[in-house]
Formats: sequence, C-alpha cells, structure tokens
Amino acid sequence: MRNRTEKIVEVATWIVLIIIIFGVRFLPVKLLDNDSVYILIGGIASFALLYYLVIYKYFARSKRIYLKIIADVVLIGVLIHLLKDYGQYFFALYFLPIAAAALELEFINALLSATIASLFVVFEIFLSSQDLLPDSNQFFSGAWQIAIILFITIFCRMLAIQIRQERTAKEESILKQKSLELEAERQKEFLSLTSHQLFTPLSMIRGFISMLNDGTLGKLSPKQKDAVREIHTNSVRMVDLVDELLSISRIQAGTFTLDKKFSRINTIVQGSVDSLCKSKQNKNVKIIIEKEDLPPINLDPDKIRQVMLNLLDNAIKYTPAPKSLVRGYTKTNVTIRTSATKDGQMVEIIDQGVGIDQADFEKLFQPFFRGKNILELDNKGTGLGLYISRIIIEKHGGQIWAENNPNGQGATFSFKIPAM
Amino acid sequence: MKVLIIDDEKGVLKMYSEYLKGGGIEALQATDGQAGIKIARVQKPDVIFLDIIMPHYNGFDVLKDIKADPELKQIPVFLLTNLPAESSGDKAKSLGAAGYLVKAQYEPKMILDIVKSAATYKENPKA
Repeated sequence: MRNRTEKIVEVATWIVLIIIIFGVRFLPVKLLDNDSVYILIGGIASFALLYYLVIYKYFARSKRIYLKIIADVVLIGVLIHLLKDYGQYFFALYFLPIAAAALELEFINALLSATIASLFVVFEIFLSSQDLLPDSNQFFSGAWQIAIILFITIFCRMLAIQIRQERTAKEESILKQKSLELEAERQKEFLSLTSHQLFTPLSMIRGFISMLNDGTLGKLSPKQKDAVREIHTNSVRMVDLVDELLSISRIQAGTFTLDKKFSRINTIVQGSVDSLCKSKQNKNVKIIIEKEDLPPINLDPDKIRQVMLNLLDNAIKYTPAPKSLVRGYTKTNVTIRTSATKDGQMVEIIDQGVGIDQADFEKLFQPFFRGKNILELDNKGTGLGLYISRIIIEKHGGQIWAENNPNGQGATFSFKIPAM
Repeated sequence: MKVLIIDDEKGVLKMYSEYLKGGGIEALQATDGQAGIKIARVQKPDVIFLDIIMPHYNGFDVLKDIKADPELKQIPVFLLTNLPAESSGDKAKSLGAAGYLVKAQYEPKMILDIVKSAATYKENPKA
C-alpha cells in the first residue's frame, strides 16, 4: 500500500516538475518585472517548503527521497537558465535541496546535489561564453534546451538509481554487521555461561583436593597422599585445559578482545613469577629476573600475564632435572629478561630444557601442536598455550618467536610489544 | 579478623570457611545477597567475598548496596565467581570491587593469602 502511494506521489511530482519547466520556459520573459520575479520566487519557495516539509517528511524513510532532491536541483537549474537576467535571484534556491540532503541524508547525496547544481551553473556559463544560448523569446527555439534538460534529468535519475543501489548495499552491510555483532554477543554470553558451568564443579574439586593435599582436612597415609597429589595436579590441569579451550572458542567466535591500559611489563613479569611459584611445584627450577627499567606501555595486563604464565610454565615443565648446568647460566634454570627495543619492549624467557627440534619451529605456535622433544618428556600440556600466546601478542601488534640457545642447551621464547 | 563469604553454593562456603578458620580467620557465611548485607551491617567484616550468580539478588546488586552504605563502603569486596573476568570484570571494577577472582583458579590457600594481604594493607595502607 505504502509502495503504491509512494509511486503515485513520485509520478505526480515528476508531472508537476515537467509542467513547471514547460510553464516557465514558455512564459514571455518581458512580462516578468521585479515584482513578478519576487512573486515567482515566493511561489517556488512555497512549493519547495511544502515539498520538503510535507512530502519529504512523510517519505523520510523512503529510499526514493534523493530522487526528489535531485529533481529539485534540476528544476532550479532549469529555472535559472530559462529566466536569464532574473536567474541570479534564484541561486539561493539551490541551498534548499542541498541543505535538506545534508541534514536528512548522507554526505554523498548532499555532495551530489551540490555537484549537479554546480554543473548547471558551469553549463550556463559555458554556453553564454560560447554565445550558444538561443534567444529565449523565440517561441520554439528552446526545444534543444528541453532536450538537454530531459537528458540531464535522465542522467540524474540513473545516477540516483546507482546511489540507491549503493545505499541498499550499505544498509544490507550494516544489517549484516549488526547481525554479526548480535551473534558475537550471543557467543560471548554462551561462553560465559559455559565457563561458569564447567568451572563450578571444577573449582570445588580443585579446592577440596588442595585442602586434602596440604593436610588441612587431616593427615593422609603416604599412599593416600600420592593419590591426592595426583588428583590435585590433574584438577589444576583440567582447569587450565578448560580455560584454554574457552580462550580458543573466544578466538574462533571473534569475542577475544583486549582491555588495554598503561602498565609496567616488569610488574607483570614479577606477578607471574610470584603466582607460578605459589601455585605450582616447579621441580626446584630457579627463576631469575634480569629487568631493565622500563616505562609503562599500553597493553592488556591480564592477557600479557597469561602469555607470561604460558611461557614460564612451558620453560619449567620442559626443563628436566638439572644434570650439568652450562656456564653462563650457573645456578639458574630459567632466566627472564626484559628490555627496551627500538619501538617497544621485549621479554625473553631463556630455559635450559630440551630445546626445539628444527622441524618443529614452523608449527610451534599452531593449535594443538606438541613438539617431538616435548613428547619425550611425558609432559601433558594442552598444545594450546603457545597458540593463545601468539594470538594475544599479535592482537597487541607485536611478535612472538622461539629459538634454540646458541650454547646448544635449551631454548629462548621471546615476545615484543610496540609502545604505542 | 572477620571475613564474610556470600555464595549460594553451600559447598563453596564450607570449603573456604574451613580453610580460613584453619588460618585463624573468623569466616562468616551467607547463602544469599540480602542475608549477606544484613550480616555485613551487624558484623562489619574486614573483607567480603561475593559470588555473582545468586538467586533473587545477584552479586552486583549486593556490591552496589555495600558501596552505597556509608558504614560498609570502606570494606574491600572481592568478587569470587566462576564467570570469566572478560564478561563481568569491567562491571565489577566500575562498581568498586577490590578484585575479581575466578574460583577455579583460586584455591582456598590463595584466598587466605589475599585475606592476609588485605589485613596488612588495612593496618598500614601506605605499605
């Protein structure tokens, strides 16, 4: 129903426009004294006001509205051209469709209206300069002008159709974007609830087992203690696994975001070491921190802490009990070094573990990859930690990489983050 | 030193209370938000641990009430939940929570450490 009404109004508008064009064209110019010009301006301004305030408002949501604006520009251009000496009085009328387009529509439509208006003025100036304008008093000499007007009108309509298509595509793209955002929000909510549901029983298991393990709930026999320690280790592993799987789900759902704030990387490093020393048995591996005095930089402290914990955990897990320590790393098994780089800050975690097989370097930061050397150690990681670390560092605009130590023992995992 | 734990899971209350008692801390318990606020007003605990997902009155509502109460607003409130920090951490901070802890990652021993740190801070805030 609305579409039909719109169509009728549009056709009616075009008929009115053509009648006005022809009416003004065939009006003898000599009849137009100054008073008549003002009356004509008033009449056209009233028409424009009525047009914009009533029809335009009514069809504000219609996709055809810019067609009407373009038609107005064409009409005003034609009036200016046909009225010759009086045309200058009408220049202000251009502002009506242009302002309306600028206020109600998008920049591109306003620009288009202004461009068409300018085109008319330039065209008029060009024709005048070439002395090509026919005498408007001659009754039929303006036939070619009407042809030009119709040509420009058709051109404008084609242009408008093109804009309409682009606008429709843009609207569809916005709708798609909104739908994707809604989906991401749903995914986020789903993951939050999944996380809650999975962690709730796990937190109880881990908590009570840790109490059994440290003797809070009474003394255990050596065999019971061994069993409880094993359950405790695995409950911690289970929590880590669920946490990492949820991180992967967030990455895949596109809801893995950073919450950046100015933070000191040295504080994060120290906090990660403290936290790891408190929560895990580290096989007597000694951690040494060599830090340079670094200013705060813009990063997500929780996520960088997650990277630090992943890398440190790896360094400790894959470092076998020391047999012979290499000179240069005496008395230490894992060294963390922080330093400034040309455009940011860098952290290196140097271990004395099994090192990395040459063939594994390429796949090291891929999901679920477990190195050959690592498998030999019988350490049960998820194979997700390095992948998640890579995503986090890349989201910061940084780089993460690994290399074997030049002395042939162990490897160094490094990451750098740009300062800005 | 008094600690109030507000959580609708009785197992969680039992677990943390047991450990805190072993560490010489008086552990008060509430199984819902409104009861928790009542206990806080009477007992004036030194630290509050608060779950988020609870029936009728959730953790954020409780936190808002505590922070709006002139007599309670100085008490550090730690949200102790299994919701990931990404989903609720910002809201918790904006409402004035002292910290956001995911239960599965915080064993009772770590909770005791936090209580002790909070006590040290209270005795010597400039430390």
